[in-house]
Amino acid sequence: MKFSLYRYDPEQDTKPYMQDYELPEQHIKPGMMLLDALLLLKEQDQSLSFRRSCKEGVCGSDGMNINGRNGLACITDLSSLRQPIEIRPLPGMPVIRDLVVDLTQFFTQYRNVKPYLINEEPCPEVERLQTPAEREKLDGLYECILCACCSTACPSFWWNPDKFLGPAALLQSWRFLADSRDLATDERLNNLEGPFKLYRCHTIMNCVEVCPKGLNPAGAIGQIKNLMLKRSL
Amino acid sequence: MSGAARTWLLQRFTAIYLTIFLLSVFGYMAWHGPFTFAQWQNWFAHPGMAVASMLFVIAALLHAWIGVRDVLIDYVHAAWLRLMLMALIALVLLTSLLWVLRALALAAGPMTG
Repeated sequence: MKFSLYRYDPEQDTKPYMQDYELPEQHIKPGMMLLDALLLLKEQDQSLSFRRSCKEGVCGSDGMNINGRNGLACITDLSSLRQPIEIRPLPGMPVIRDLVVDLTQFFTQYRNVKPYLINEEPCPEVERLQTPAEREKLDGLYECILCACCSTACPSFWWNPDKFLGPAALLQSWRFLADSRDLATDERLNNLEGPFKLYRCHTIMNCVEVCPKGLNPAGAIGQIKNLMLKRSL
Repeated sequence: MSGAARTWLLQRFTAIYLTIFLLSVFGYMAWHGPFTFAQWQNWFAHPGMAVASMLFVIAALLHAWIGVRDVLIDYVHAAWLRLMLMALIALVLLTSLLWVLRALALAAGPMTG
């Protein structure tokens, strides 16, 4: 099985290049994921660098660009991929080495939406309860694993990563706006004012297309825009 | 209402109006055409049509302004260059508005010659 991997070590290379690798067919087992193959390739070439941890699509460490499409290597079926399998780092982010990118900007934007429950009321004696209907509103929002596949697939985020929050952060913003226990709606919406943070989204939908967890950040952004309108009318 | 939300809403409303207007005008033309010049002039002289077409021009200019402004905010990051380009676009759009107003005023006025 043929691979073409993006290689870049800033300490040695003047610029990035693609390196071909081959995995002997006897190593390939049915149901094998891309990450398994990358780990075997790393046995061949120890200098190859990439992030991974849980191997089952929960930790969000091994987001990468696979044949032109962002995804998690650990839950991408090898047999589904056209050869040579072209692997590049997540687009638009500074490369630390090979497939490892610097996600500082991504997490700065994540922190900007205050991704935690804000409720200044005195703590009740029991948990803050929700009705099943209220809880249901958080489905499709809380499952985000922050793998950055969506934001780094978003052209608006590529052009303005410092000003536009990006789909991942905005999905989290809506996750707390939609939470019946959160009382900071106004403060959260105020923070999203202006032409950049929210309104650089032009519903390109790459985020929805690539999300390995099947979430819908564009839908969440639409909900925030609706809430913005409702508040102002 | 906040500026950004207003702009976003305006872009959608103008888009809806532009679609409805263009579909109706082209539909009417396909159904009743072809027109002679006199019929054409008569049609556009009708007060309803005059108001609708004036609204169309305003909606088109607003829609164009918001769209181009969006593109410039996306891609042009140097503030001075963006402002300059936006001023240029605004000038083009305002000139277009004056040009349309002049055309409409001439069309509404008595025919000379």
